[in-house]
Amino acid sequence: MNQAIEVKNLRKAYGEVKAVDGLSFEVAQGEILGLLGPNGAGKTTTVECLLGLRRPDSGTIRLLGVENGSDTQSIRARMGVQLQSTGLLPQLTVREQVQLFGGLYPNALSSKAALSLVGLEEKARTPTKALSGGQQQRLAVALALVNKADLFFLDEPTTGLDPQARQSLWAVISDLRSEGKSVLLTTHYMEEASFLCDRVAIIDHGQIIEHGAPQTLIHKHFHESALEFSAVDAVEQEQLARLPGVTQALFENGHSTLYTTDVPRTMSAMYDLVTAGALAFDDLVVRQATLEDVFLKLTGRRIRS
Amino acid sequence: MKSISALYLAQARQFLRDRMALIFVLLLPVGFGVFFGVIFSGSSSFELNIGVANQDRGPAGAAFIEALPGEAFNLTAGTQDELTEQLWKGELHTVLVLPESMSEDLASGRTAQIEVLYDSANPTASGIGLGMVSTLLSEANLSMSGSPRTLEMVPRSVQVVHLRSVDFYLPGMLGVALLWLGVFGTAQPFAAQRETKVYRRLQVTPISKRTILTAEVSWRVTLGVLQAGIFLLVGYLAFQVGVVAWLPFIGTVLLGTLVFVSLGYAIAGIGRSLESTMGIAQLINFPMMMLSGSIISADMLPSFFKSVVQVMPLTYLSDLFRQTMVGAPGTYPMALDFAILGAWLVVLLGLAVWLWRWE
Repeated sequence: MNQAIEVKNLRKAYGEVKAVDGLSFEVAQGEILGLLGPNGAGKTTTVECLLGLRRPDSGTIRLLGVENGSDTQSIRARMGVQLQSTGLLPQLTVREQVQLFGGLYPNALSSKAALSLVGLEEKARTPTKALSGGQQQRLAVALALVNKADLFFLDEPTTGLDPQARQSLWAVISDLRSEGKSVLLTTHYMEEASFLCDRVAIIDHGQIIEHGAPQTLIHKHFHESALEFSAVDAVEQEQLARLPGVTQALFENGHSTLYTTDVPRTMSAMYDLVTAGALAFDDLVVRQATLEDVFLKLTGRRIRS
Repeated sequence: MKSISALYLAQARQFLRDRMALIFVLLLPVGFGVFFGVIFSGSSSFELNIGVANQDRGPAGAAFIEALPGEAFNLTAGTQDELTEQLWKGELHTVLVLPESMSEDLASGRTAQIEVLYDSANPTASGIGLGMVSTLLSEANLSMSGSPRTLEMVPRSVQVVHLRSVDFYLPGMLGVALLWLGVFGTAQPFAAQRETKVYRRLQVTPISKRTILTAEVSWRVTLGVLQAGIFLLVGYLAFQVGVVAWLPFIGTVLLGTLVFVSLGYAIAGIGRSLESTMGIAQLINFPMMMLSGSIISADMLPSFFKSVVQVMPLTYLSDLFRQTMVGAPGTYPMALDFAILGAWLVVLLGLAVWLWRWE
């Protein structure tokens, strides 16, 4: 099957810093791939190299079957792009902004259709400069969606959106997949990656440290459930890590997480500690391990720190 | 074509809704032109300057001049050519030409015809001049022979361009307007949109940079033409300033726009940020505006600046506008003005391309 994106051995260094250090991945037609990684991991540099905004030091990139650098214009006509910082003309209204970008593509949606995808129809006549941060973000996504593209690049599309707007955008992105379109998505939200992505690639220090379907990754790294509660002091941490069933304990800015293979035994042991006055905590949550846990385990950091 | 018009429309909307840009680029220059033209128009008290060219081969001419009452006006003697030139410059109001055959005519009892040259473009001065001359002649007639109508006045209008201050300032400010179109209408928005990553975003669309530039420059040429139209409208309605040479005028508007739009892009190419771009723009704008003879006449500047004046493109642009709009005598021949502006266009365009920065 034809790959929408094929990247082999991509490298890009800024002086001594290797921003991208030998990345290889593919995105199939009709697939959503999520690039996950902490800030500075190399996600944005990777996306910029793919888009031709930066020249990679080495490596090959094929977009929609075409080698990088050849026939750029016709490839760009088949791509919809949302950049993290989108340059907008402040005096134009929302509709005019979408009309402008629609006018740059041979096959474009009407501005009305593009705006309804991101729920901005009511703001059509509002000048761009008067939009809130979340509205500007949705407009930036509309500028990607206005092109009837085969391949979409969405760089943190739901950052700054309220939960409702985020969920409706998820539905729109899922629809793109069911229309056979391919999406390369970067995100800070693990929940979003779990929900949307067919596969995710976790990037750290410019390298892919793990990749696969979200559920596969969770099962590969965690047979355990997670117990989450408020921070505890150092003495308590040591005791908790040695409780029955606990395989891993993470204590990290204001949060304690115990991964356990046996929730009832671990919890009853914790209860004993509490009644003995050796432990105090708040806000206990018991949950299945998530992609966030995988991320935390692999990189040692929460993604939004 | 579709993408060019989409970009053109976006640039136009962005510009026309930006009040500061609108004021600086479109309204302020014509406002200044009118303002300077009006406040500096107060003319000094009227003094009649008369030139007399005595071509008479006999003694009658000299006797006539002797008989003129000197206290009524300033008398200048000279050849007809010299005096006509002074009339052109506005230094004289009327010129009397005493004919070669004056003595013979008077001696043989014929009427001697004295030509009176005056400036038809300056009805006040020439009216007073003609009236005074005709009084003088009848007095002279009486005193010279006692019989009336020996001397006859033949008024002849000479084409004299009379420069009012608005004739100086309005074309000069149109030149400044095109400079501002380059500085505030090109360098500033380009640097601002570059800083807010508009061009970076456009780069990942299928349009070429040439398409972006075509749209941008077309819009700016539109602005230049619009600006010239505003000047003509205001100039005509308020001061009867029109255009005396249409083809060179249109050529001047287009060439001037391209020269200063190129200058704007070159400035934006040197500047790294919006702030540094605007700093450089002001550094170029202010001296050019003051020293180009657009606002302050180059004659009034210390000689030290003269060489600077002779280098700047605005000097030649304003000179062309004065020649093509009010028919003022040029500081330079039009062909030279066009040639120097053309050379500037080549240089600035080259600089703009060489220094170009999309990000």
